[in-house]
Amino acid sequence: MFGKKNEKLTALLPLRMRNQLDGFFEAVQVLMEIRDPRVLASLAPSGLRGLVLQRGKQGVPTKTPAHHSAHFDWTYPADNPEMRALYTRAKTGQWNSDTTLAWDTSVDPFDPATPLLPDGFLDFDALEGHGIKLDAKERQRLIHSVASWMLSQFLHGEQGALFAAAQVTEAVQFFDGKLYGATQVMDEGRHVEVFHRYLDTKLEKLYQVNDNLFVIIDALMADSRWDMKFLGMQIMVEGLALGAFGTLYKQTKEPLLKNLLKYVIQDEARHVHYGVLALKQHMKQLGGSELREREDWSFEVALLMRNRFLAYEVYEEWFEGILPRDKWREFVTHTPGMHQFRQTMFSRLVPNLREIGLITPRILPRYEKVGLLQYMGGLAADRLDGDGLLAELDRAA
Amino acid sequence: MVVEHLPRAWSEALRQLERDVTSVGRRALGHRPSPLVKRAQPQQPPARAAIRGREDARELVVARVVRETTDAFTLVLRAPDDAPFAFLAGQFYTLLTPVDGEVVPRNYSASNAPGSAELHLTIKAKTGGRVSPLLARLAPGERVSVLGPFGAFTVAPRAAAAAATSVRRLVLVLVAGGSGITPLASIAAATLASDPLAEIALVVANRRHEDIILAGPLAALASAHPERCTLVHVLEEPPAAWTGEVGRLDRHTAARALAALSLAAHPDAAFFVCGPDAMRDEVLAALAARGVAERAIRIERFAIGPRPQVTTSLAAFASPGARPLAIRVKDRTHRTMVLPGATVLEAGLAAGAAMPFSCGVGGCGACRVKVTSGEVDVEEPNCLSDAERAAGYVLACVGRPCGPCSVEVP
Repeated sequence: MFGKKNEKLTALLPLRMRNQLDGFFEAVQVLMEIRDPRVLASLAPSGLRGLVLQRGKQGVPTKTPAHHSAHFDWTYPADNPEMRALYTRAKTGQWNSDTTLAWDTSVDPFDPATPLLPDGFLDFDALEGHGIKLDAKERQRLIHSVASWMLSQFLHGEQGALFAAAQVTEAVQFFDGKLYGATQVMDEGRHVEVFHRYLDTKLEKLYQVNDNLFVIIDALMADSRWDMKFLGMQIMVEGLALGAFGTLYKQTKEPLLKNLLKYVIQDEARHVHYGVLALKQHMKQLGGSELREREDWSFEVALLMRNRFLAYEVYEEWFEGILPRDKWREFVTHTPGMHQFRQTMFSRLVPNLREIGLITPRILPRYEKVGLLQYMGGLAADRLDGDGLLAELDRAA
Repeated sequence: MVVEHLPRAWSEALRQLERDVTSVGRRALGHRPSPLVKRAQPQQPPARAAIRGREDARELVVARVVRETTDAFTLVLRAPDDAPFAFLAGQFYTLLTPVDGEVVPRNYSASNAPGSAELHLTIKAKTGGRVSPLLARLAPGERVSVLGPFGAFTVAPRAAAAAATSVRRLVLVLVAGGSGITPLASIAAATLASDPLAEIALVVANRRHEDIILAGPLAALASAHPERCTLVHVLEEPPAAWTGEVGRLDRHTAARALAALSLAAHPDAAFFVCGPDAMRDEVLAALAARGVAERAIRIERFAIGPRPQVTTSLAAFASPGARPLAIRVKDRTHRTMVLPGATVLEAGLAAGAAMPFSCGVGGCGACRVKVTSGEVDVEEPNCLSDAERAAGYVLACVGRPCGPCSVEVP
């Protein structure tokens, strides 16, 4: 409604100004869609920093204050056998990125025998419908850009995950969880390393952090409540990552990237599992309004991830001045690769939210309304390990 | 600026506010940030094949060549995308120069402060040298291959950070002989620029006035920071009317020069010494005589120069403790003797074996050789991987034969 009205008004303006307004309206719209005032209050400052001030793109390191408490326990209790078991599994699951991956693989992003993404990932016909015709070489280059953009966002997400995992390790009250958490910090460090190395030395391209991803990372870094950090990082961002990695793993024919993702997915499966273990009990203890806030928060963040992960950075590089920003949004939203990416992401995310107890009858209609209910039947992370996940992805490929 | 006089937390908040306003303002005017992150050190695919085991070599563009003295010059290099250079002041780069179909590595210290889009490598040309005359003739726009940065002759970041946050100031006494000034010029410039409390004294020894390398930049540095930077020149053959220190920089001259410096008596003073071996030893003796603790002294190990002079094969053959060493390079085997304490690389190069090497301190792996018989003791820590160790590789630059042995250059 808001969007339609502004579309009519702005259609009269020059393209550059129209694009700017589109960006601002979109930012306002994201915040206006949030119903719960407490969720709005906790996301609005991050929204301001990410969408309006674009702190992630100011060209200097970003300082994000944190307000959580570190939870010490001098008695070292064995307090959670499942987390202890996960810790043991995580220790043996460590891998050395230098020796495990064949970095001497020569990666040619334009070799048709080993495409980064299949041609069908983007709907070039739809792009032609918007008046943009690309030749074969340009199509390959655009695919290379989109793959680099996705991997860049994974990398930025992993940086968030690295710091959040460290915060969560400090804040969590399970001692066995802290030991496990240490392995996750190491995992995330390794993921930052391998994604950056792949982008820097193989694709030779790195995109800026997407504004909406920045908002999510900023919100959960700054939130003082440990369970919100868990929910945000272990369930939402890791869920997003699993979906994205899964999509890419299934589709890429580039052997180094495929192998890299295979190892990363096995780590990530542990991370989501840990989130489910920690939050399942916790959510049961929470009372009415606190639980409602978390239900709403995760729904809003899920929507933010579904609707706003739109590769505007690729648009700015390729089509700014040629295609209106809202048309790009339409194109990306409906293009097959991104559609599949959302499918995989929510088929992981929704079962986990259900398992934790955050999809209650109260919030169910909202999930149904946005078409997310179809994913309710899947297995949650505590029933699915890395191998199971990969087997499922391989079957689907 | 007012901002600089505010408490740190306030000034940081103000700077953030300034960036926020700029960000919104620029966007309102139709400028958006670049969608891409400028990558600091993009790697260049070509020029690798020739350089064994060096995937990390990259190409830089010569911006200009500045003549410093009759035999020294500064190569001013830029990255192809003008990205800033990230090294620690005091570190060196290895220039890889093709000479007669062979890639010859040479180490040169950066002489400017890090963080700018220019890398200054100041080089003293050797008469009859293979590489430096070629470098002196480089024209703007030509490309060179480099590895690095390498080296630990740096102000420890921890010490710098501690100095910045505590009452202890960073106090550096830098002593340079001849071309040893290059890493120290970088350290001085970087420290004065980054730490507003740091104090520096520079003692620069040369034979004649016209031999002083980087004389202009050093003078500019001293006059830009008159309270925090003391510059003392010591000349062996001073011109008429010279009022500075006179003499060869031996322990007596060094003692005189240090005694005249109030900073040298500061309890927190750290001493950085770089220059020819003989001068370095003399300065160390002077420092020891002043009771300066060893941990306060840093020396640059020009462990491997272009021509190691530690071992001559002749001297080795005559020495009683010497060990026989055979080095196989391609189809040729060089046989020589190694003095106790000398490295495989030193002995090999002295015997004329074409052995690859770069950092000279066990950090880059360029000089790795396979031991085919005998035993070689390798200094730890070094960069060999477990797999390389298991396969019998050692690093020639920090490896010393324990008895008779044979090695093979891979």
